[in-house]
Amino acid sequence: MQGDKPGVKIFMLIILLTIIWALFLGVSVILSVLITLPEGQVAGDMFMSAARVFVGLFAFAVWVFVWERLTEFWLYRIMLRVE
Amino acid sequence: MLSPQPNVLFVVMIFVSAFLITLILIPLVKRLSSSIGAMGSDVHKPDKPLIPKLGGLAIFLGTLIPLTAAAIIYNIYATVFVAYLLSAIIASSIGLLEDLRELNPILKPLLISLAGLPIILFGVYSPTPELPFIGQTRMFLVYPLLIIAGYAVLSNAVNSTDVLNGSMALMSIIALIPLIFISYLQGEYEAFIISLTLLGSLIAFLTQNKYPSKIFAGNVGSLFVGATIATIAIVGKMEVAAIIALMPQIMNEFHIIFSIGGLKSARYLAKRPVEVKNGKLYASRDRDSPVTLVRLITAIQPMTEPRVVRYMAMLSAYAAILALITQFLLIG
Repeated sequence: MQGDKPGVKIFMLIILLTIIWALFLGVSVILSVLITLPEGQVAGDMFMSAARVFVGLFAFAVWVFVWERLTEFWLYRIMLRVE
Repeated sequence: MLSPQPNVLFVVMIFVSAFLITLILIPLVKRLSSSIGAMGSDVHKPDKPLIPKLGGLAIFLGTLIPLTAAAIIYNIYATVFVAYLLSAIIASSIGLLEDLRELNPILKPLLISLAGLPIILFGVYSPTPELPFIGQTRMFLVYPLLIIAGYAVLSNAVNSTDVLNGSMALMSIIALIPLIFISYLQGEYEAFIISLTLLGSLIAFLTQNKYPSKIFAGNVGSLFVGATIATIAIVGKMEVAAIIALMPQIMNEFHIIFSIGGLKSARYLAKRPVEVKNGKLYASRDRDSPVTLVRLITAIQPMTEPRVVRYMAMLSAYAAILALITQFLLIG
């Protein structure tokens, strides 16, 4: 950590923000396919609607978990270099 | 909903009014805070001075007075402004209550989510948000629930960045800039006017809130700003852009919640995310300390408080660019 120049670490923070943005875009696509219907499509039956919401919530929870673990890894292993 | 295009004179007047009203109100709010003992300790200074902490009242009034006057005088945007006014009053009241008497940390986000109710009841939202790659979607049943959750998340996210002199105001100003561009270009003039008014008020507030702070926004200010940005996002139909522009704030909020194991008051944390030594902030190397944006930034190297705020602003500026890219290239 001490050997890294501040500029490198600033760049690493920008990379972290970019990865989280990309993950957000990926998850928003998954959620929009699973939970929502593009305009023009007709809603299915109640069971399918409920199933879509549950799968969507699961995808959202996975994303939040991945995001949390990634930031923790970034802080301790890349920014602070704590073993 | 009818949304007439504002002329340049109206836009300039509303921005300047918000700026001047806030500037005039700041000394009055300082006196009020001192007289009722609403003071906060500036914990990153060596002598930990006590600073008036109800500065958010100046932002609240500095934003709402010109908007209300415009709605009455010009008789435009009335429904949206009434819904926004009620929403802002709910968020600010909860913030004021928290400033005067600490609220239960679990109850607080639940109460703030009530700020979304006027938007739902007045029907000033469109349940067909546009998502990246997909385009317009239909969320007739889910969207009102997302509004309720959105107010709690965005208000608390903005609130979580009010930790250093000028940090909340500066990051919110930067997050507002893409929303101002998008709302104007998409003809969402209610959202444009609300954004511009809040911008004028925040710039005036920042003159007194920047390092070394002479006044703090308090929960009354940060929750109001967060709820206003949530309203701008919903009314202006730019939910995704707002989430991305506020990504550093949202990251900060969620990481604090995760690392301290739930909704808890920051006052009772056993380990601090940063330490202050010789006027510089050092990131804690302790794995039990909460993960925060300030800790991530000070992990670059130990730095002074104003420099940390500049880095926070830089990350916000990057998020603002990502918001514009998402809106114009991926949503269209």
